[in-house]
Amino acid sequence: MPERPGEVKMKKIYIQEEYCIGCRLCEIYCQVKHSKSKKIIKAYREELIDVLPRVLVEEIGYNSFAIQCRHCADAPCVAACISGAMQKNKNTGVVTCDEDKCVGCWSCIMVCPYGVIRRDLSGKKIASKCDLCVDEEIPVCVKNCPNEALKFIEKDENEKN
Amino acid sequence: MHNGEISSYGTNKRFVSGFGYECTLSTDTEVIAYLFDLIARKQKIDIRMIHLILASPLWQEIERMPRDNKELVKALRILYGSALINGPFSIIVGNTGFMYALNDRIKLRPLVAARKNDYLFVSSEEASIRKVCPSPDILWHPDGGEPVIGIVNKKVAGKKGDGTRSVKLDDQPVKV
Amino acid sequence: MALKLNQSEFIIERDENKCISCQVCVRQCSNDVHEYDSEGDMIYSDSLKCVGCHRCESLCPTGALKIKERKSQFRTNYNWSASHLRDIYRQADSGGVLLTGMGCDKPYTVYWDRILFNASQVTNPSIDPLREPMEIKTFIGRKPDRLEFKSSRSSKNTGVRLKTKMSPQLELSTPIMFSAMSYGSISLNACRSLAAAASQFGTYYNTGEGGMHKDLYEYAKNTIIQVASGRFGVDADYLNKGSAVEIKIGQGAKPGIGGHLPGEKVTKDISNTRMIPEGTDALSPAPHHDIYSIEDLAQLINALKEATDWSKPVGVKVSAVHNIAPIASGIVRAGADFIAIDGLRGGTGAAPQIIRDNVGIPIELAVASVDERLREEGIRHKASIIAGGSIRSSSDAIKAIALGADAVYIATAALIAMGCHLCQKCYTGKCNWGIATQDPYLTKRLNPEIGTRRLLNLLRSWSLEIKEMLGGAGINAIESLKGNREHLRGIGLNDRELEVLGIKHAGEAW
Repeated sequence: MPERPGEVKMKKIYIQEEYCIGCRLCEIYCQVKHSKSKKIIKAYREELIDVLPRVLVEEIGYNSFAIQCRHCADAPCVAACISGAMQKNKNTGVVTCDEDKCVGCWSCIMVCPYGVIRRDLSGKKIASKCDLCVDEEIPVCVKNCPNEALKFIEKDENEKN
Repeated sequence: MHNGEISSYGTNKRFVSGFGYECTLSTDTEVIAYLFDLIARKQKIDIRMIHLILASPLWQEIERMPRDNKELVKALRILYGSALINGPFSIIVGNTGFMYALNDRIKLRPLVAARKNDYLFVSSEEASIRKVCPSPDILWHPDGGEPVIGIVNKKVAGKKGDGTRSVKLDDQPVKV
Repeated sequence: MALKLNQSEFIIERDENKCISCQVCVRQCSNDVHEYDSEGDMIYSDSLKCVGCHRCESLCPTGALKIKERKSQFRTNYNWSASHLRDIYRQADSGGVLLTGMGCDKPYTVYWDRILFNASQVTNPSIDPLREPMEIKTFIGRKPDRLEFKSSRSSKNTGVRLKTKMSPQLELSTPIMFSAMSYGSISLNACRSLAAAASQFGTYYNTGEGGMHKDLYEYAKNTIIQVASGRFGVDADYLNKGSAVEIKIGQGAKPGIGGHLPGEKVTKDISNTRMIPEGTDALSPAPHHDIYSIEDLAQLINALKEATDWSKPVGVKVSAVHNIAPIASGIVRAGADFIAIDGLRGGTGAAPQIIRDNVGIPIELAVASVDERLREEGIRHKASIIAGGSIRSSSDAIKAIALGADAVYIATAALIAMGCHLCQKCYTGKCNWGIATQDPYLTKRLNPEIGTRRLLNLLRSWSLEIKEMLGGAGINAIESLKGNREHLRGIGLNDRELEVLGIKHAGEAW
């Protein structure tokens, strides 16, 4: 199968909804990872945890699932970004937002088909989204899911399930 | 005669007592005699197959056997599991018609056999055989679980040499 | 009545320095114990509702929670214990039969803890399981009285073949099987985990009286089908799917009475599997309505063997009661290929507390007396004995085998491996661990991938420990341990107990 332009072979986070228990521990650990102190109690009590989680748990009835940035091959947010803050790394495939360049226009939020980018109004206005925890072995949400509902694997997304 | 201590004594004792044998001596050797008598005489299992019960081959060996042998040995082991003798042993069992020697299946005790003409010698040590018979025709060390059988007025079943082989259920033909 | 006579059984200690009000505890508790107050950014906990399942404690990311049992809040009274008082308050409130879950928790003697195992020293070498083969393969089924052979030209090298047709046997890679836990009492995810683990390890699990769900057909080869008094899900198809059939006469937790699955737990899926209308209580009658004597049992065993073409072992499960020895003898003579005995401490999803705690006898004594009786009558070889009813560790298993069992059944241990904390509230259907519930919000919590992995680990640990203990006693094949009471000694037991168990006291030699 020929790869689409911009497509990079990479591991992504996938959710098995049938095992998501809606505990939201993924959100908590995401916040802690992106906090200043990176220590859970200190981050919550002293920093007043104004850091947003980049993974979101959606709940409908007894169903729930965690969703985050899909690091799309042809990322609409990258195309829409007016300052060039949103970039897809050619090698790793990870789409990241350069916080120094971000001007808080929210164009990325409007074009994102999954609604996984959020406005971070705490300091300088920036767009906040999943960065696949590139400096960790596996993303902290995957590592800390108590029911192993999140998986960090490589999948051929062109395959129909 | 028995060299060793059997860890399956309790199980073997229970097994034979179900058939009416009562162990009255406080030695574990007693139960071996009863097992032999029960299996060979009462249950009429051929003497050449007794080692498959008392010192059964390992399951992994049984898996590798040809189908008919596998079925046979498996059935023997399933039915006579409580007759399996565990623990180190070399035993020599005999009466006026035969002599039978066997080692435990992982060979924790020694056993040596030898032949000269019409005589069959079995002992724990080579030295004691040589004392009685300084130059036997053949001398061998049976494997764990491999019996040495001598039947009076019949050819000896042993390991090497003059066309006689021990009863080993693998895919080599036996000539007895 | 507004006046609450019952006080909370548990104290929830929340370390305010560690609590970050993340609300994981609030979300995870199915009993609504924790509540978040947004005004004060605090969490309040109502300990009266707490059942002591430890779900919140386990999931709390900062370890801020500690669940403690709230001991005697009454004046110390050796006669009237706190549980007696609580039970009467509840009965006076409700007028009904008090229900409970899991096994008897009363302080009767646990004989496993008064029996010691042997080891070889000097006179007989121990065997190192890391270096020498250690065989724990076990066969369950009827054994013939003797074997007959016929000569065979075609058979390579022996000249002999087996003439006797062996009865069908179950081949186990380890002497441990998963006992009956019905789909209904436990969730489908729990059943999946048990089936997958049994299948991968080379042992068996039991459907219980819930029938076999179609999702589990792939594990049919490792399934023992249970035919209980309610005959739920039983038809010719069902019988022929599994590898063995077990007629359930009784279970250790509730000898003499039948099973009960409350209507709330009978969902559409359960209704299909058990073949009963949705929402109705699934009541299994106490006796099988076609078994009123031992001859009837023999008839049923025969009928099941006919229905399965004589190709599968057919056995019987009974509770350990006072006359278990002659009962077992009758069952073996009626044609059963195996007899599963479930002791006093056996677990359950729902049972009247009064029966669970007062009826039956411990499995240790039952196995010893049944093995002895069958042996005396010369019929021990005819059927395999499976011991269950609180086998808590590999040492309990090995002692059971030394007392005479062929294999052991575990159930509570398996559930604990999957997360159960023995809160004994299975009958409410609100199991926070996703095990004893049909609520889809809760059943998600048991990921079969994790469940299977943990059960495989449990089987593996126990099998390795059994091998270590066997090796230490100088045994390299488990069949040499069966009924080998010489390797057991009692400690702190009186003469009568030693006599029933058929073992000597520690310090006595042979």
